[in-house]
Amino acid sequence: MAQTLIALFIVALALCWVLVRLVRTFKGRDNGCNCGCGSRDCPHCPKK
Amino acid sequence: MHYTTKNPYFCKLKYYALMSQKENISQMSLRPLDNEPVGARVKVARVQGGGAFRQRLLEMGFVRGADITVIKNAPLLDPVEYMILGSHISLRRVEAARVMVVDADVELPETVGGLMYNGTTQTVLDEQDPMADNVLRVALVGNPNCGKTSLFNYVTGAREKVGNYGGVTVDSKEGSFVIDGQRIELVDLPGTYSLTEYSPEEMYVRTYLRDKHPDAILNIVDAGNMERNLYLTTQIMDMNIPMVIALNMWDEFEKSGDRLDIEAMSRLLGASIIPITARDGRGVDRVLQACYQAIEESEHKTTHKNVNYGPTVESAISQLETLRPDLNRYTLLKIIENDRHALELLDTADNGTQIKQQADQLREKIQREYNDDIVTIVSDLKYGFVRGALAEVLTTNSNKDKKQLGYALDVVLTNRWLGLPVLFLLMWVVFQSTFTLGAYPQQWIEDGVTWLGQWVDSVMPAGVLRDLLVDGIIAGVGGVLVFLPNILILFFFISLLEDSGYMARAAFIVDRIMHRIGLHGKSFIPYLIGFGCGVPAIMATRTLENRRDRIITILTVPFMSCSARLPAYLLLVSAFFAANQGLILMSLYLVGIVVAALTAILLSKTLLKHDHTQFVMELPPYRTPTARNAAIHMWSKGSQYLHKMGTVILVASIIVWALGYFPRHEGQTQQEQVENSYMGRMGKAIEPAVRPLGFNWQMGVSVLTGAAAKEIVVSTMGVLYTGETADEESASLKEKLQTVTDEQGNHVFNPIVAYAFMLFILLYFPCIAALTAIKREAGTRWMIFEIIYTTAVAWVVTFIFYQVARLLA
Repeated sequence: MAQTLIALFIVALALCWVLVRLVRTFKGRDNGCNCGCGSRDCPHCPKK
Repeated sequence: MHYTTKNPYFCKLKYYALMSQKENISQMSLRPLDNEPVGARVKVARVQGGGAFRQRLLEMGFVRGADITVIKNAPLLDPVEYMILGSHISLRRVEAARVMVVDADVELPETVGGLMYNGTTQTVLDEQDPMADNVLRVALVGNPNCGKTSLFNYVTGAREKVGNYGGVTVDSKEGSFVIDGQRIELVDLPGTYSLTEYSPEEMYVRTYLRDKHPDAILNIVDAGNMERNLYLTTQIMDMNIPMVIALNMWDEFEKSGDRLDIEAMSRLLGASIIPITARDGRGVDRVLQACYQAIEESEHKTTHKNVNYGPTVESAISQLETLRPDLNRYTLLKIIENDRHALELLDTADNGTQIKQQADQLREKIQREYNDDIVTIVSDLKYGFVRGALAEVLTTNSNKDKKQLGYALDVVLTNRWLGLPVLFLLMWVVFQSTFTLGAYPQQWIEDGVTWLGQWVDSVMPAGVLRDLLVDGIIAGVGGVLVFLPNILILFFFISLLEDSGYMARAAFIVDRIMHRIGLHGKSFIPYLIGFGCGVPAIMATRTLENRRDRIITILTVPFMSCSARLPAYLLLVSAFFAANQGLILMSLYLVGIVVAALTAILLSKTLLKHDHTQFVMELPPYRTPTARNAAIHMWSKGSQYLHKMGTVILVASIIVWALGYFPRHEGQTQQEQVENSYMGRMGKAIEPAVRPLGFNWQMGVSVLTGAAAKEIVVSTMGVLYTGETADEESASLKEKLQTVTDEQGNHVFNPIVAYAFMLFILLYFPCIAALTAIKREAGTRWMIFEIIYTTAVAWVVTFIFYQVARLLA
């Protein structure tokens, strides 16, 4: 029983990780510009 | 004058006649550069046409009077390698036709600039106190491939990617160093020939310098190619920012036998000049000290030295300055040059229209006086300033080997007949070595993973957690981990090729093919990076000037097989193609290249129709790759791979295992259990779509999970093929794939199925990270197009291959 609970907990953690990653990937950081340069007025950002 | 004739040859002759008259050159002598034979020595008379590409040629030194030597034709006869100002430049014939030349011994009328070192002028600076800021910022600015990132890595201890070709850095990288207790931020900017916005990364540099206004600029100048490099220096001088010049590759300069009076040059340019060798750190401490000193001195400085362009242009700048005293000389000169981006700055100003009208009048006056267009005049004046200064301080060694040692290898590597075979041979050597050298450490890791699985199995009581650890995590992550040595070996070789300067040659060799498929030769560099990872490759398309070129390159880069797909190839090739490993692997890469080429042709003729794009690229001298760079490159790839093991692949293995493990049914065999699991049901649902390709449901599921990261294809197979007996469980994934059978007892995998599976993995949609990069660089519409297009191509190509190969077998 303990093994099952630990295993399910690990699986739940993995699913949460995926969820967070997906949100971060598609929402983007730095006001939608996530080219990695860290600049809010990045000239490469398509929203600019 | 107006010509009514339709005969283009006649028009051309008339045009040359007109130009000759204007240039006062004998009509017979003036001709376009593209027809010059190899070995010819000629002199630039002028560059025809207009637009940004002409300006780029002028800035790269194609100004009147510059000597050009035709070095060689590429193996496919286009482009052609020329030597100008000591640099080797690759230029397509169609572009070379724009450069009008005369015989080397023809006396041309003096250029506007000539050898015009008129001294410097001084700008009165506003009061400023850079030291009041807590963070001091120094920007690294220089031509492409002059060693900025090498210096940056040396100073900050960073491990940013460097390579012996231009365009490696496409955005800024920040690091810091401490000097006299003061922390100074160092910003590595992309390489640029000038501060004209010709490509997106050059625009980035210009915007950065204008908006961020660093406390000092560290201008890196290639000591072996000062004339061309100092052109950019003249623009920086006009920006009124304290500057230190680092003469990089000083060791090579000293070996050449040339001599430079550094103190005199420093006086002429009004900036400290320090010779350095960034690769081994010689002189770097002095240069950092000089930067700090320049910032400190700027606190008390009231004036800044600028280039003196002579009375006409100086008077024009002064007149504009009275209307906009807040703009620096660089911007004012750009306004006079009718530069679009500089003029945009005036749009919001109250007296913008007045300044524009004034600039138009001043431009016309200058053009009338010098009898030429403004872009040529400014380039001539700047080169005149540089030539004049160098004439006073540089003594060239007349006994220098004209052949240039750094280019000696080109006799073979870009030879007309040997160039292409050598390129293929090198590719084969790299791929074969990946297998043969990697086989030993791969076996050790494989044994270690198997031992770990067996050990966990033996020490833990039976249960869900043990199954998760052994069949999920160890089988999934371990299945991918075993390929780490192969990845390191592949990147070691790629690093050698990049550092040596061969990559630029590869672009030179294949440029004609790229041109034929409607692409820029520079696209070759993102493609090469794409063999490592699609994300930086998509970012690297920023070096392309034309947006359509960029989109086509972005959409075709994913066909370049990235290193994440390598574990799947290595697994299947070593299991089913033991005799021809290197060739089979190379064939996959070639299929990717062919599909990318066909896609590029299709796009350039349909959705992204456009004229041919101009291409000018510098061929750097060959340099001995350093062990440090190779190690940094390998470490960077290795750590990325291990990081992925601990994150994406670990998580995916856990989820795939859970989907393949639940729901539990009592009394079923392992095989039945997996087939009835969530994963099994999902796999069975998509099986009809993949069955015509020769795939079973496990392969279909592996392909789907590979969307997160391509390595997960292998880890999913590692989890799904767990085996029935203890013997099977302890067998490696490779052995399992060789023996696994379907319900009828037939082997699931054979060479045809294995190759079909690899083809599909090669061509189907890229991972989420790459798709995000496509969305960012090209937009959501193109990302969706990419998903649909690549999957359709993968399905069709694999279907045709599988069905045809089965009929022939």
